Amino acid sequence: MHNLLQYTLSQFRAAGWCLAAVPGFQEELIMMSHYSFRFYLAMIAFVGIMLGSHSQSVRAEQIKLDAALAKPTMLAGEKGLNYLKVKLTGFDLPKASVRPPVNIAIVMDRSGSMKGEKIQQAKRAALAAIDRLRDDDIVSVVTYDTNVRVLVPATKASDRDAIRQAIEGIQADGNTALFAGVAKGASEVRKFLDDKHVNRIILLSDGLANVGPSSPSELEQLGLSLLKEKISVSTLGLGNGYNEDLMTSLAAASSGNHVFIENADNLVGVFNNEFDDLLSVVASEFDIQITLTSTVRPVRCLGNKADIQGQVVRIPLAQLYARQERYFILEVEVPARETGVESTLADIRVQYRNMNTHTTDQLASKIAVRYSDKPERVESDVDVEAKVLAAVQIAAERNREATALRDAGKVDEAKMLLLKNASDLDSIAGFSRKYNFVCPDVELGCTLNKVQSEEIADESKWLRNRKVQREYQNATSQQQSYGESGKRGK
Amino acid sequence: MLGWISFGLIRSEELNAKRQFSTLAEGRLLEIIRSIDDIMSSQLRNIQQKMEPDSRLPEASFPEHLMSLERSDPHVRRIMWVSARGQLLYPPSPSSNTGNEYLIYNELSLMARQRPPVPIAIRRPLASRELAYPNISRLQSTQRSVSPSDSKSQADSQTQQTSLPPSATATEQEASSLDSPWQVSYFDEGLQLVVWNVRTDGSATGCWLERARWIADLVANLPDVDPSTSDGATALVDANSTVVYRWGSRSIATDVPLAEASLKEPLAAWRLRYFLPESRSATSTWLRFWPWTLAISTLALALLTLGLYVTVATTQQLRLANQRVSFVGQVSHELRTPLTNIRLYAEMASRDLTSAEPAVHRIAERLNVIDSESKRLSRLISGVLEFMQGKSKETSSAWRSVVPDEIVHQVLTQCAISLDRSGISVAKELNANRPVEMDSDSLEQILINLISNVEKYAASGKSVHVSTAIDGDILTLDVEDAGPGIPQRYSKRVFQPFFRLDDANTSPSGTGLGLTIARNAAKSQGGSLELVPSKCGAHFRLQMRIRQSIVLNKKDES
Repeated sequence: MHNLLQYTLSQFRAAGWCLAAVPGFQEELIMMSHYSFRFYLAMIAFVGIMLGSHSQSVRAEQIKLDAALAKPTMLAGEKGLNYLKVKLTGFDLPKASVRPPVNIAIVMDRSGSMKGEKIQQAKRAALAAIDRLRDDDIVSVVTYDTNVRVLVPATKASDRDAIRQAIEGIQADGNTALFAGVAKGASEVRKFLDDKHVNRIILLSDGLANVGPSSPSELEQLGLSLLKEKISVSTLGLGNGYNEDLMTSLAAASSGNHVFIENADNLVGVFNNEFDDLLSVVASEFDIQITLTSTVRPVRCLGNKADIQGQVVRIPLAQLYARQERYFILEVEVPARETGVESTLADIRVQYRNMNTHTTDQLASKIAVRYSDKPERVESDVDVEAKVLAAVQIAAERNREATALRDAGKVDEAKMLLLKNASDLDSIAGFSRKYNFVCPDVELGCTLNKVQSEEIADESKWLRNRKVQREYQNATSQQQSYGESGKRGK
Repeated sequence: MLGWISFGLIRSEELNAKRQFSTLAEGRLLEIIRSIDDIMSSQLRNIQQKMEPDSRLPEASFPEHLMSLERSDPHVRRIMWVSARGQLLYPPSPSSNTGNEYLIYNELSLMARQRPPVPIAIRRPLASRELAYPNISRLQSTQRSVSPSDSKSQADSQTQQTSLPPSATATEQEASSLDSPWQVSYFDEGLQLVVWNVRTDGSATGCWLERARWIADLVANLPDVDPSTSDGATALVDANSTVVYRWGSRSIATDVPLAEASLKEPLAAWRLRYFLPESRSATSTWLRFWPWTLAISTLALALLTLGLYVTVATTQQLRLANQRVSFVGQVSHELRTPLTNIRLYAEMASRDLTSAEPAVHRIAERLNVIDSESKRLSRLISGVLEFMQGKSKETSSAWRSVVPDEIVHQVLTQCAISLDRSGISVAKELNANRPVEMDSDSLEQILINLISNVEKYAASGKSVHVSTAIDGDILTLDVEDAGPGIPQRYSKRVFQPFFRLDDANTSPSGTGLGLTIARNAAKSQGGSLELVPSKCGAHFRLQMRIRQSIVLNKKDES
């Protein structure tokens, strides 16, 4: 049931983009005499599509880069904020070709709290995962309690029986040395670290780290360091007892997924989803660099850790899955100019490792901004997708603030913020409907913020709701392709 | 005593073992410390080399190089480049005065200011660096403890300065070698490490290592749980004694280390600790000295068994001796009573004979008593002898044709005098008035024993009821008194030799053999003697086998 819902959602999402493109295009044709510039844009898009489809049939698959400003036209004479969207779309894995091999470490919490059903389900999930691996994949299994044990050192998955046997022997007991578990898992992955493999650590925990470094910032730093080596950590939080800050920080910093699994029964399904992702990586080792014109000030990259040095913004991204759409929203402060001026805003360069062709490919794009003294012109030129996605990310950021407020005991303020979020997203939903643009994240975010605003004062539900919030925040900023997202609407 | 000695021995062996263990453990810790030092040194070389690649870069692209290193190297958190005058050349100052970036920048400039001093050759140009940016130092002095190693190395360099003559022609090799390229600083989660590298122009690059990463690297290179060797646990602890990583046995509480050693620079504030659980050390000592322990415990066990045996045996012997003494006493007493009577009556008879008018019937009476008492004496002696010789004596040869009631009459007449004296009346209900073949001696003996018991122990009842009956081949004799009775729980034990309900001196005299002898007699003829439960007094039932007698025999007998 759960999987079905997620599948439907992802289909829905994909369909949304198509719908957005086609009616928008028709609209352009009707109004082209009035808005020649938009026609121009549409033509570029059209040619782009033609080229894209052409290249599909002739050459190897490429990642698609799509950059746009939420307000391509800004009001003249005013300094203002704008949102730059950089979107990457993974190609479909060609049917004939084989997926890239994976190099994974399954790092499993086997502390005392995992006793019983949890450890059984965790073992079942790990065994199911092992079954999905190909012989040339590399796998290691690390368990941790008070101490760490490298149960299966990095080995080819062809040694399936021995790996299965080791997993079946896992028993739960002791404390939680989470940091060391990840450190050992990383060192196992590192043994076979190369650009042919998709490298991943899958961390499963139901508890708080209480042996060794245990703060979210320390795990975040470890995640950042691992990302530099192209190792991602996906964190699966089981039950209501784990430290969601730590688990989301680690996942977000290393460009991995984070899932809140309330019921151990869903563990096998979640592992499967994680593997769906893992086995469909089409590109990795991204270097996304946005160079802003000297007059434009970078403010922040919404939801993502970006390295902003001067005018250069670098965004880390470990991998892109097949058909995955991954976007980044950069908030920029644009200086005031007089009407009619059109100036370059940013240069975008993307370099990545194509896992299909095993080549390093490059993409580039240039973004310009125009100024007009007519507010209605500014309004009509708005890029629907960029505006909606920026709103989605802003809502997630605000949701983070709400969590912080609630943590500080400011329940009423947190509630107000969530309500504002819900109403903002509601109006964005109306806006996107007007342009036949469907984005499920808006609806989901709206419902979630509303439900959370109602329940935030309830102390008894906070332990769970905080995890739901963290999962939502992370899943939104990381644009996770899966998660227990059905829960968000509950 | 033996226990104390062995305890002392075990204790001293334990202490000895502990000392040996801790020496061994220290050796092991030093080995681990060396390996940690190797890891840190290789990281140091790696970073220094990356910061200053062999191929000379044009000065303009150097910040670009540092930036890309910072972005791509997983060990690097931040990189800084400080001019010879102490000015931060990289990173550029942040655009705003708030936020995390500003904090980090402040931290970097503090690190740059406190970086390890460089050797004399290039120290001169740096002399004014503290004066150049005095305002920064004041700005940064919030909640920070300057690392002790820093001031120490500063002192070291001062001594070096005096001992070494200034050399204007310092080679590049000398220039890039610092006293210690490490800088320790406390920020965020705790100890932070910075690697410094001095360039030829006197400027220096510093790399703030990613703390989480070098910890993870240490963890990755330290052992994990080894299920095969589970002796003890080792922990890497930070300056606050918080465990960073531990391995070995996981059930050991990490409170009192057996051995402890500090890491080398730059992690001198961190320590390695080796733990051995109390129980584990005891076990291993026990294991080491198990032959000793085994011998001692065996000895103790043997001693204990011996002691127990001696105690039990002695108790038994004592009881037996007591019983013998008591038996002898009782037998003597028993023998003396008829003897006294015999002597008394013999004296009286002789006095009667020497008197003026001897009364023949009185003399005959006295002789009767003498006769009966001597018979009693004879019975007593034969009973005791019989018991001493063997409990079961087949006397089947003694079968004769008798009328059981007549035997009973005889015995009761015999005992009439003593019964009279005790004030006991006899009621008879005799239904065995026909001749049968049986062991009449046994019947007589048993009945006498029973009656004498009544005399001795049930005189208070003032009556005894004797009945006989013949049922086929079985003669049943019942003797019921009205005395205090015998509790049911003693129904078996009363037949055991020397058993007496009350063995006090005040109790009536007796050998404690009467019932034993009686039962043995009954059993030897295939009969039985039982204590039958009754409401008042004691009720003994004798059953004996008989054979129907031939009339002829009766005639002969009569």
